[in-house]
Formats: sequence, structure tokens, C-alpha cells
Amino acid sequence: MSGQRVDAKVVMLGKEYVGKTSLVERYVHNRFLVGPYQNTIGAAFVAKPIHVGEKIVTLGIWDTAGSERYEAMSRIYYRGAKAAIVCYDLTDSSSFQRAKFWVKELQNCEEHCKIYLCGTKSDLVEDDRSMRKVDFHDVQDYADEIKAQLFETSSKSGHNVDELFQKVAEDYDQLYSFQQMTEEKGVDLCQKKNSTFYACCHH
Amino acid sequence: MAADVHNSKVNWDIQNESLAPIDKLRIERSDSPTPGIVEGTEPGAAQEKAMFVHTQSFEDLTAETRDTVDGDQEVESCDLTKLSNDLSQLSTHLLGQEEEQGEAEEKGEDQKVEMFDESLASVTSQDSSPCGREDICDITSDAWRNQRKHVFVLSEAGKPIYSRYGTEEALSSTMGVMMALVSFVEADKNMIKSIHGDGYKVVFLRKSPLVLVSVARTRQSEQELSRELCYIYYQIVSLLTITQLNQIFERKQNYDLRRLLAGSEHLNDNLLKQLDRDPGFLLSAVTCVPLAVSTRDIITSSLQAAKAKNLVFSILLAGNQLVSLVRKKDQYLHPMDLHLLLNLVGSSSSFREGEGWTPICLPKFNPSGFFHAHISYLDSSSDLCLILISTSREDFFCLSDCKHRFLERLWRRNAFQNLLEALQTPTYPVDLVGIPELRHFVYKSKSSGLYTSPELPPTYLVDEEQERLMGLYQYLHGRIHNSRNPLRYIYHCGQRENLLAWVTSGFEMYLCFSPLGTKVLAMNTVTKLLKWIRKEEDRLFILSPQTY
Amino acid sequence: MKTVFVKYLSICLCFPFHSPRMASGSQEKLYGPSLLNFFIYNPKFGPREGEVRWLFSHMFEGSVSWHNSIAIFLFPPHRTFCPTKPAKSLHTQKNRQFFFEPEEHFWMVMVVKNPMIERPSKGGKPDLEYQEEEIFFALLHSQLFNGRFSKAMDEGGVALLRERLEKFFYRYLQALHLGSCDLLDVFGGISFFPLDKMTYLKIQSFVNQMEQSLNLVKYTAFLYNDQLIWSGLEQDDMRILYKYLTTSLFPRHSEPELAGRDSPMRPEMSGNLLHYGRFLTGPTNLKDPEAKFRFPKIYVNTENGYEELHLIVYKAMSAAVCFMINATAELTREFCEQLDNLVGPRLTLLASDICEHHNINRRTPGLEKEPHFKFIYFNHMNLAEKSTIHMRKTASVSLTSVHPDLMKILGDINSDFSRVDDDEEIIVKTMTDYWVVGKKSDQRELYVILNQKNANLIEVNDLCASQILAG
Repeated sequence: MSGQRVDAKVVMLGKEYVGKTSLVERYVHNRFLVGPYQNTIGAAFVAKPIHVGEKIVTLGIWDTAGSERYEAMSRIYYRGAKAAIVCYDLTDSSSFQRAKFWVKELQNCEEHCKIYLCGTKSDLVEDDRSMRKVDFHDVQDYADEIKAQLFETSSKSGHNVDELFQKVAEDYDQLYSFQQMTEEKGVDLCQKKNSTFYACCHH
Repeated sequence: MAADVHNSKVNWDIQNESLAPIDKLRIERSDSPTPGIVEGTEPGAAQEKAMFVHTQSFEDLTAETRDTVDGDQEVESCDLTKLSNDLSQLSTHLLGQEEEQGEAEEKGEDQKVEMFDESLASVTSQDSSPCGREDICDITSDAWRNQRKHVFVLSEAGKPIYSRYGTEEALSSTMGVMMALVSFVEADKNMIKSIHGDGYKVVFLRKSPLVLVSVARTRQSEQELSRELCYIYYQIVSLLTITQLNQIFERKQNYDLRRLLAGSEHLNDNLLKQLDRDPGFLLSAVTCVPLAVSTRDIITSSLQAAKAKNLVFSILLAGNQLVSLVRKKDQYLHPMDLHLLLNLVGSSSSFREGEGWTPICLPKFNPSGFFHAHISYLDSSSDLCLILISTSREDFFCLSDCKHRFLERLWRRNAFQNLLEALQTPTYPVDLVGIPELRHFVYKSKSSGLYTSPELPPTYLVDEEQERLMGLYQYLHGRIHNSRNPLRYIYHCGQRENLLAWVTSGFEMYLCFSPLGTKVLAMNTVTKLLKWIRKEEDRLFILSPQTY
Repeated sequence: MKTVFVKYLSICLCFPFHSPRMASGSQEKLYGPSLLNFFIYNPKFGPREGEVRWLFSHMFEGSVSWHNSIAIFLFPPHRTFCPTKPAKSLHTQKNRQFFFEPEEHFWMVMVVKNPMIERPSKGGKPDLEYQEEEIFFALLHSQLFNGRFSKAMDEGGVALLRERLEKFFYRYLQALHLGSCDLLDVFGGISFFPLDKMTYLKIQSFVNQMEQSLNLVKYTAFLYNDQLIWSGLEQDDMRILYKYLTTSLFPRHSEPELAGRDSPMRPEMSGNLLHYGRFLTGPTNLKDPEAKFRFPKIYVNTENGYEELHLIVYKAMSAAVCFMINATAELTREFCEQLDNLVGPRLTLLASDICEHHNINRRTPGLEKEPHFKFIYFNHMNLAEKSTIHMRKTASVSLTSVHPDLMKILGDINSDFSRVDDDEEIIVKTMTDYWVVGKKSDQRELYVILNQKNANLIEVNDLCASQILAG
């Protein structure tokens, strides 16, 4: 059973309908669901173990709802996150504006959280170049400015999806391998009071 | 006793006071239930305290009338100049059409069509989320007009919030007129209730800061339609809380609430569909998966054991049916709140993705605060969904742990496999009861708030027929629970089926016979059916609900 | 010139005086439904510059402002949902507004205040609870109205129409007692007087003779005790005429009659001591040299349109006869005197004959004791209605022998019936343990109320079956 031991908290952020859930579905279950759009309610949590060299890193992925309704709640999802994947829809320029909002939010509240910008639905743009509403180079410049990594993915084809999460896990491993080695166990998240998980993220 | 059943007083203060019946010493459960059966001893009655708040039919509506009358008197005369402005606006809006109409009725229609076309064009040019219902989206089409039941929600400023069919944008002028109508009547310290036409009803429900409108071609009474609107209202409250809803409109009267409700339309859509089909919504009750008592006991005790400090309710569902429910001592769930949870789970695939964690308001429990619900499926292939409700928003991992403890216990005691097997036959055919000409029935035990009903016979499997049967049950329910003139008993002989409805202080039942069924048969069936339910009650009902 | 717009607006409602939850209410005051406003409106002459111009309007309570009836403006939007069927009523917490289009573009709007209970509350302010469900209404169609409004418009424009409306409705509305309407008003049926064959033949020959002697007479109708015995009119016309006679004309004349029932002396009409006959329409006193020989005009349907008739109603004791004469004929003093001399004595005789037979029949044993069931019967085919529930039914009084709650249930069952065309049967048991049976079969409707607490469904069924056989 998954979900008990989590090494790194990863939060998915972005405007509704950009495809956060599809991205997680593709990565975790390797599937792409076709059908009417279903928005996420609240947030969904999945734990996914991933090989980094010899080691196994378990990512605890929080897929948050894009709806404004849950904005007030979002803080509890990104608090203590090691990585944030901020998604925007390559075919919707307003979603990139929203992505910038989340970046600011993270910079203000979670300075230790590493930011990954992710342009979604790249398959649509490949099929028809005129669909692209967010320029790659503009985003690259912005990514450099905020010291973020940039990926363009397609959950439909699976393009770049594994690479994105692999990168997240590797970065985490590099950064925290020392702590990882000194600790015997993973974090027991249920016992909040003496949780090292919370201890390390509030520093 | 009789007056008791239809008492309209509602108790909102659930935390402090229990509405469940007083514990009854139950020496034995009688074998042959008699018509005069007392609440708490009917087949399906819970042995301990019930798990639900006790409800009355139409409690919201009857309670509300009083509220608004009181409130109404406090409101001093409204701004008359504003009203007359509204009026002249409205009459110019309408006069334009009426003058045309004087010559040819169709011409007025055409004009409206044009008007709507414009707004429709503006809608389609936007890239709105896929509608998936093209022909009925077009509000000028006959398909749109001929829908059995339209439901609209609008703000007091007349802004569209929700429309069951068609896009809200295209309907903004219609909604504006509706709101004008509402405020005209309110200007007179009055409140609009309904409009009746040949074969249709327009019912208004005023729940400040919202206005809900239903346009129905069904046989349902005004009361039934208002009750459905009430459900929609609570659905919206459950996403936002009444506090937030009020604050929003206090701050900005013409706020576009759709911004906050984005993505929740399908919750309303699904709820309305359920209201048309699920007898539980009609009866304020839920139904259980038929389950061997030993299996259910293991499940319940496992839920009991997997407790946490802030945990208030643990609910295990299989689709629309209840498997088990454990609650904190002295806390009761209202069936309506459980229906909203059922609807949340039933209308979203999002919880299959991982473990869901969402704030949710249970409006009948407390309309102004959020609970936090951990929602997850027990395994990917079944419909078994576990809902753990906590008061703390930090509780996710704690509840996730509760879930795993629960699952472990089930596995250890081999109950999980038994449960999955039982789910192979989640319903039973009516033949099991062994009464010829009996096609279908719904039986509700009042004290436990649970009902049982066999699967639909082939005659009613088509959507229209299913809704027609539900329509008949709705009709009987509306008549028998009519707040002014309640009845004990209704026998209805029609061309296509004969129906029997019976309400006592302990239970209510609705029976559907083939047209060949005689009155003698109906009489005998009641006794036979009650006996059968008594025999099967530990499988069909949860007789011993538990607390942590 | 007195045109009778024969009232067709048949209104019906009833309300229970005791609902279950106010059983203890000695301090509670109950207000029945009442008519607030009545409008006749044509959108063509609709609001101009914010002013509403009604063809006719009447307000019973000055406080109610006209925009209360604003819903009339809202027919077009509601046609969004149903282009062909406009709204019929609008319900609010305090009142109900009923809309009726008797003729194209002519709308009648009636605003009725809901019945309500006033109970003393702590704060001193009375706590008003509106009982909405109590009123039910039926506005039926009138063939008699057809073309009337527009015809008046053609003849003399809006002014003439207004004048006529004013004349008719002013009196009509004063006489309208909403509180006493019930299921019988929904049916708008005709109560037939039960009669043995001999007496019936006597009446028929009387009618034939009169029509022969007074050759101006086109149609005749004969009533006894406010119940119909013979009619030459088309059924639908007779229905409306019957309604007019029994709810408006007869009650207006009933008081002098009651006063002088046992004496032939009518001091104000001295002279004719040979009979009790007198005109209910037209001249009140033939001897009066100033007497005017004007009769109300009514309109009845014919194959191609309608015809205009003089309505002469002549009554002797409990028997009344209506003579209808083509409106083009001039009715003179001579004609009226001829009629009085001819009809008066014979009708008086006939009336006492019928009375005698009726009393003999009533004395037959078995019918004396109170039956354990009561019923209302209505036949849509011949409009016949029968009721053992009503002890007395006039426009202002509806004296029933059953609880108003039960009457309300009858109304509910009736509205259930009217929603489907199929034959149906509904048996209900009330909270007060009465059984109420409604049966609709082949255009006939029967409602039975049984006071048998301990009967079961089968016994109730058997009882009703035997009743239907007997009836």
C-alpha cells in the first residue's frame, strides 16, 4: 500500500482546465482519460516511488483543484512542498498569467520550494502551430529569471512527462541526500507534533 | 401521534440536542408487524440510536415560510423610485414585444429569437468548457423548450449562476425578467411562489442571496419542486458555506458567482438527475447494500477502530448504497447531507485518481462551517468509496492512516473478500418477496432513516418509464405528506399500474402493482411484505449503528 | 340596453377552518380568502408612459396597488418556456392572481387574498401565517363570452366596452363569495330535480303549450327548487344560464318570496290574487303605468356564431320558467300581460303539484335516516350533478355536512383526475380516519366520503360498488 512513507512533497498548481490531473494520471497510472472534463474537487493525493540511481525516492504528489473556490485552501497544499509544478496551457495565454500568480505566491511563502514550469497540451501545438498562445522563449526567459526549470509536456502522448518527474526526483535527491542518509526512517506524517517533515520545511 | 408525524418544527441545533427517538428497550422484535406499529419497532428499525437526524417531509419548506414572513415584516417599505424604474424598464422591454404581438404572435417570438441569437453568438465565440449537449444548449430550439424540467439559479442582482440546460449567458435576459418579477412582488412585502400554466409550473424559491427557479412539466406539486430547489441550494452552500455566500454578495452585489462555482455545474446536473430517479431523495433516506450481518459487523467494527481525534463520520459507500456508517457520539448526520456527499462522490471521477481531500460544508449540520473530507476508493475496480470526515484541515495524513488501518483490519478478518462478493448482487429482484402482480416497492423505516427497494423490473428499465414510475411515487408522496392535508393511506388505480401508499408513525411504503392487481391482493401484500422485510431486515438494514 | 354578460367566471375555492395543527386555537383568528382586485385588460390598450389603462378594474382594498397585478406583463417571457400556453395563475405568499383569456387579447385578472390564520404572538405584532394551499380555482371557458368584448368594441369602441363591463362586473363582483366556493363550483354542473314520469309529462306539455301560445318564444327552460327539469337550450348555454339563475338572480329575489311564502298577499302588487306568478326580470309591477318592459339580453351559441335573446324569467312559488325571445322582437306591455295571465295560474298550479309529489317521495321510509356515506356525483356528458354533502348551496352560503378538510381532499382528488385523461380510482384514508373515494370512469366522477374508522380497503370498495349500483 502506498501513501504511508513520503520523501518529497510535490504540489501541482495552475489554472483550472490546464491539465494538472491528466499530467498526474499519465505519470502515475500511465493513462490518458478521454471524456468530458472533470474538475478536481479539493485536491487529490498520490504517492509514487521513483528510482533515482540506486535509491528509491517516494514523491507525494498533491494535485490541487484549479478552481478559485479552493484558492483559500491552497496554502495547506504547498506548505512544506519540496517542489511545485506550476502548469499552464500552451493554448491559453491567460493560464500563463495565472501561473505567474502562483510563482509569486510560492516565492513569498515557500522560498525553499523548487519551481518547475510546465506548459501542457504540447500535442495540440504540434498539430497546429497557430494554436500556440504562449511563446517558448518568453517563458524560458521568465524561467531563468525565477530560477525555475521549464518543460513542455503532452499528457495525451506522454511526451516529456516522465522526464519532468524524474528531474523533480533527482533534484530532490541531490539536495536532500545528506538528510536522507542521516535519517533511519521515512517520515511518519500522522504524528504531526514530532514530525521531522514539518521540522525540516519550516527552517 | 398523527400530528407528531407531520410536525413542522425544525431543529437546527444538532450539536447540542439529539433528535433521535429515545432509546427504547427492545425485548424482542415482533414477528408479525401490525398496522399500528410504533416508531422504533417497525421492520428495519435500528436497535440503538439511529445514525441520522430525524426529518420530516418538506421540513425546509414549512420552516422557511415562517422565517420569511417574520423577516418580511421587519423589512420596511422598499425604495419606491427604484421599483418604478424597474417597472418602466421591464414594461418597455416587454411592451416592445407586446405591440408586435398585437399583430401576430409569431412576430414577437421572432424578435426574441433574434435577441437570443445575438447573445448565443457571443457565447459560442468564447471557448467555454465543452458543453456536450449542443442541441439542448440552443435555447431557441424546441429541444430546449420541451425539457421536462428546467432549473435556474440566479443572484439577487439577476445574474445567472446556473442553468440546467443551455448556457447561462444566453439566458441572462430571461433571468433578468425572472428577477424583476421576484422584486416586483417583494416590493409589496410579498413573496412570489409559483406560476401555473397549462401543463407546466414555474416555481420560485427564495433563499437570500440566491433565487432558484424551476420550470417543470411534470406532475409534481409545487411543494415537491420547491424541495428539489432546496437541494440545489444546499448543494451550492455545501461548496461555499452560507457565511461565504453572504459575504460575497454583501461585498459586491453583482458578483458573478460562476467564478467561484466553476466546475461544479455537473454536481447540480447529477443531483437533478438523481432527484428524478432515486427514491431516497424523495424519502429523505438512504438504502444499504444487502449484506450478511456478520460481514457488516466486521466492517463497522473496523471503521470504529480506525478512529482519530477529529474524525466525526466514517462512511463506506458502494455506489449510491450505504455499506456502513460510524459517527462520533452525539453527532448525527442529516440524510440530506449524506445525499450531498453521495452526489459529490457519484458525479466526479476525480476521487479515483488518488486520495481526495476537500473542504465540504454539510449545510444541515452547520451551514456556516467547513468539514474536511478524505475521500478515496478502496480499490480501483470496485465502487467501494470511503469518506472520512474531520473537523481539521490538517488531518489529511491522519485520515489517510485511518483508511489504511481500516483496510488492514478488513483484510486480516477476510471481510474485504466477502464484501466484494456481496457487491456482485447489490440488489434483489422483487420476485424474492413472492407476491404475484407486485412490480416494485419502496419501504422506509422512519426511525433508522433507511429504505429498501428491489431492482426495477424490465417494465421500468427504460429511462422514461423509470422517471414515470418515480413520478408516480413523487405524486403519492406529495399527496400523503401534503402539509395542510396529510393522509394515512392512498390506493390509486390507473390504466398502467395500481399503486398503494401507506404512512404510519413507524414506516412509509409505496407499492406498485400491475393493473391486474386487485384491492384484495394489495391488502394481503402489505402484511406479507412487512413479514418478508422483517425476515430480511438484518441483511437489508443497518440494525445496530455504531459510534467510535 | 342592459346587456348581461352572463357570468361565466366560475370560481371555486374552499378552505378548511381547522387544519390539524391549529386544533387548540381558540385565540386564533382565521380569515377566509377574499377578492382583492379584479381587472380586465387588453395588451393592445396597455400601459402608456408608465400608466396602466385597464378596461375595467375594481379594488376591494384600497391599499393594494395596481402593480400587484404586474404579472400580466409577464406573459411573453413565460412563453419562452411554453410558447403556446400562457400562464393561468401566479401564486405569492399573500395572494394569488388568476389569469383568464376569454377572448383573444382580452385578459381577466383576479387577485385573491390567501386565507390566513392570525395568532397572537408575544411581541404584540400579530403573527400572520398564510395558508396558501387552501385556495383552488377553476376558471372555465365560456362560449357565451365569445365575441362579446370584441363585438362591443366594434359597436362603440373602448368607451362602450368599458361602460358595459362596468355595469356588469360591478354587481357581479359584489355578489361573489369566494369563501363559499367548493368542488361543485369547479364542475359548474346542473342539478336536476328528481321527478316521477307523470309530473314530468305534465311539465313538458306545459312548456309545449306555452311555446305554442306565445309564439315569440324561441327557447324555454323550467326549474323547480333551483334545480333544472326541462331545457330547450344547448347544454353549455344552459350551464351558464343555470349558474346565473341560481347564484345571482334567484338569491336576489329570494327574500321577498320567503317573507310571503304562505300568503298570496303581496301588498305591493295587489290586484292579481289568482296566482303567485311574477316576473324576476323585466317589470316588477305590471300595474305600474311607469313600468319598463326591458329584459336582459343574453347570447347563446348557434351553429354559425351566436344569437342575441331577451331573457324573461317568471316565477311562481318554487317553480321558475325562462322564456327566451329573439332580441329583434319588441316586448310590449300587452305581451307581458298576456304572458302573466297565461303562465301565472298554470305555473302556480304546477308548482303545488310538484311540491306535493316531492313531499310524498321524501316521506318514503328508508331515506329518512342519515346514510353512513355521502357523495358528490358529476357527469361531464350531461353536466348533471348530485350532492348529498351539500345541505344548502347558494352563491353566498355553502352549507356542507362534512368537514372543510374533507372538501379540500375532494378538490385535490379532482385536480389529480384532471391531469390525466385515463379512468382512475383513488381511495384515501385521512388523518381523521375518514375514507374518501374518488372514481373517474367514462366521463363521470363520483366522490364518496365514508365515516367508517375500522373499515379496510376491501370493505370500502364493496360499499362504494354497492352505492354505484344503487345510484
